[in-house]
Amino acid sequence: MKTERPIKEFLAEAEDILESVSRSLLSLDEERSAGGPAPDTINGLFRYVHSFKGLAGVFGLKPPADLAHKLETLLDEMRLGRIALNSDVLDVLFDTTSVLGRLVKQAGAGGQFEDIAAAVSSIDAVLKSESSSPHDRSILERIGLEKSVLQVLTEYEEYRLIENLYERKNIFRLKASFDISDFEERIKKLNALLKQHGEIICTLPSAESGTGIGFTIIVGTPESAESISTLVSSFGVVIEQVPYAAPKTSHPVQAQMTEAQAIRSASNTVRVDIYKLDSLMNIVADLHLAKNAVGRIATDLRAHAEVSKYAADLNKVHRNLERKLSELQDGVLDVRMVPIGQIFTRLAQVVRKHARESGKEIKLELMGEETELDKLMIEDLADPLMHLIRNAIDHGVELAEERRRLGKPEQGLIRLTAYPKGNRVVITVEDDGRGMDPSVILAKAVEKGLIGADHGLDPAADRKEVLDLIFLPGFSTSEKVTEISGRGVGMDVVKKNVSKLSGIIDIETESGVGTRFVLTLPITLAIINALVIEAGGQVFSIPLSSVLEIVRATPEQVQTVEAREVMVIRDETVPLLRLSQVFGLPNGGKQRLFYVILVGLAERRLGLVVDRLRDQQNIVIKPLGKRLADTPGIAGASELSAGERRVVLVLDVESLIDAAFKKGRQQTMDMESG
Amino acid sequence: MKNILIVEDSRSIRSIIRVAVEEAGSYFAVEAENGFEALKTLPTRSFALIITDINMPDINGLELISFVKSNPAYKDIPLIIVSTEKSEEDKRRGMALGAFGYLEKPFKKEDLVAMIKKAIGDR
Repeated sequence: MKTERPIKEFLAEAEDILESVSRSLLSLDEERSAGGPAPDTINGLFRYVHSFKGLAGVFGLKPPADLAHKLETLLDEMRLGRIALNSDVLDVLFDTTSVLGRLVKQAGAGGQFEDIAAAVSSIDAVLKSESSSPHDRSILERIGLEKSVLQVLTEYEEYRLIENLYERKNIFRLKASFDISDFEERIKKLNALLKQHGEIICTLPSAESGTGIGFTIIVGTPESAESISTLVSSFGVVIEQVPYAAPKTSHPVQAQMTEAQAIRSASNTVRVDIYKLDSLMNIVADLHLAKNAVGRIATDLRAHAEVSKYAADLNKVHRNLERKLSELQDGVLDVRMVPIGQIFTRLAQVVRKHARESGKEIKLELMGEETELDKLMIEDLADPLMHLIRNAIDHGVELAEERRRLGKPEQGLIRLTAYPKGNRVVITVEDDGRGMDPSVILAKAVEKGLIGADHGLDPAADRKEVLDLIFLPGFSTSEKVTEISGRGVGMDVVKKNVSKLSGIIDIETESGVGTRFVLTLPITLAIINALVIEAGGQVFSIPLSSVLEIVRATPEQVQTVEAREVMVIRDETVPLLRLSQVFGLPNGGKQRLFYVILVGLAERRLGLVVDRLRDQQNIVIKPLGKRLADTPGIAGASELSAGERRVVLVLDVESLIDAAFKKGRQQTMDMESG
Repeated sequence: MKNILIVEDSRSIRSIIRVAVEEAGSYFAVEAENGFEALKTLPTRSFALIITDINMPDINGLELISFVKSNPAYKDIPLIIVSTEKSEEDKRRGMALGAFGYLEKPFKKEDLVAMIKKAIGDR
């Protein structure tokens, strides 16, 4: 029906819907790579497109309505299992969505629509490939579900029920009763919980006496009645298993299932909130403290002849405790570990989408997806990695024409690599684009007023330091905002996020050849192995993952170059930083013997001068209070078991390195100007 | 003034239906964005008619119709399905559950107005 309603209403809602469609498509692509699309995602897509069609139709916009109708038909076939998702189908979905996006814009610009014939016929081509035969509905005659439930299922819901039966899932009927005042919140919570463990076939409301409202929920799940009933125990739900006669023959669709899907439905995995694992980890840390106390008592007892027999026994208990505790810790840590491939797939979507948007052809290479990392860290890595990738597409990879001229393959390359390195993980984001030119960076930093014109830096000699200028706040943010990488987030935020994970970020770049960002991170932040040291009478701990080497030294080995203390370690001159000086503590420098702890990465190595090494411990880093949170050089605090339960500060190695190198520069500059 | 409940997840279509409702007579249109909202709205006043979509998240239109028809307090309220169902089957089921009528989107406003009048039985 033609309507006189303002087109603005259509535009706003149509754009909202298309955005949801795009989001779902990305999930769909991701799920496809991860083993198989979730029925819910396809159905969600179907609903969005369905709404879009209705909307366009009501506004009398024929081309968008027609194309959406075609797309809806395809999605309907897909959700009913008649067309399988493959990369061709996915391309058609993506392409059709961008055509719809253009049509919406054209509707806003007065309704001069482009020809949709090509888009329609590409959908038709896919529709012709219908790949599986319809279901045998007769199985529904052999299931213990009442007619009142069966008759309210939509065709799609019915299909999902049959599919669950063929997959031999357990079918449960849950009856819940809520008060009208808060039923929505409760049923949504209940359904969300159930969705994590299975598929909700339908939610049927029914009247109850008074102000109550009842729901019959039909769920298909691989899990047992006991586990489902434990899961929903707080909802006062009555659960019955729905009996059915399992199909005898293998279902055609089942044969199409990917191996991953087959494994997934058969596996007995549980989903656990990572914060539950965190609290387990805290308990492990507390147990470490308790265990150490036992050890101490055993040692004390040994000094008393009359109880020395108990001392020996207690010592044995202590050792046993230690062994089991470390197994427990490894176990809990292991549960937190997930392959980094999880995030790589998500990033692959970003590459796909942004390459499309920027009109560049990009080939993405993923390596080391099986490398494991703490789940929490993986989540926090998504943003920085995404930004690095956007940057690479935006500023790194050249346009096809330029690449051709340079004799490079037209298709740009972005490579994501991950590999374990000792107790750390290295992740690299690499492109074969135009690289970075230190002299350009230097000029830009001056132009933006980030450093003074009298910086005294040389693009070649101080290459590393110059490149690091891109991490200064304000370096990349105010540049022209492109749709892709310009979101007001600069490289400074990337660096901050990586530092928060106790990680270090390095740049390797060559003008005209490409850029590689190298992120080095600890495997986990939950519990870390730390070196406990003393400097200036204070106790500190240093994450062992940052320690490269420990050297014993005497004052004679320390040399002074350009007013900086340095020391030669393995033929390399390394600047030294006295912790006592950094934190304004009494100088313990008169000692004949001290220790240099070599920390850092790549060219940036630093020797931390400390008075004494104490021991090595597993610690859980706790954040500092607000007032101390931004203290440079300190990452947090942890509890130590040595002697009394005391709190020590954990050093932030990255910021110490930063400070040391900046200080060195100033000193050099002071000398030059003086 | 008689109340009419519109259950539809698209806000634009909701408002278009409301216009038709207001044109059909001196009716007051109450809008619900989804099935849950409809369930919450039903007890708040008496309704002369419910106009609902089928394809909605959480609770679909069929489930809503079944709820209304099995509930002594609401079972006499006529229901009109306004939907773009591809599925003839779903349309058939809606009618089997006791819907008064079915209108396919995009609908002509006059058709909806006529159906509303017929369903409520007003002249």
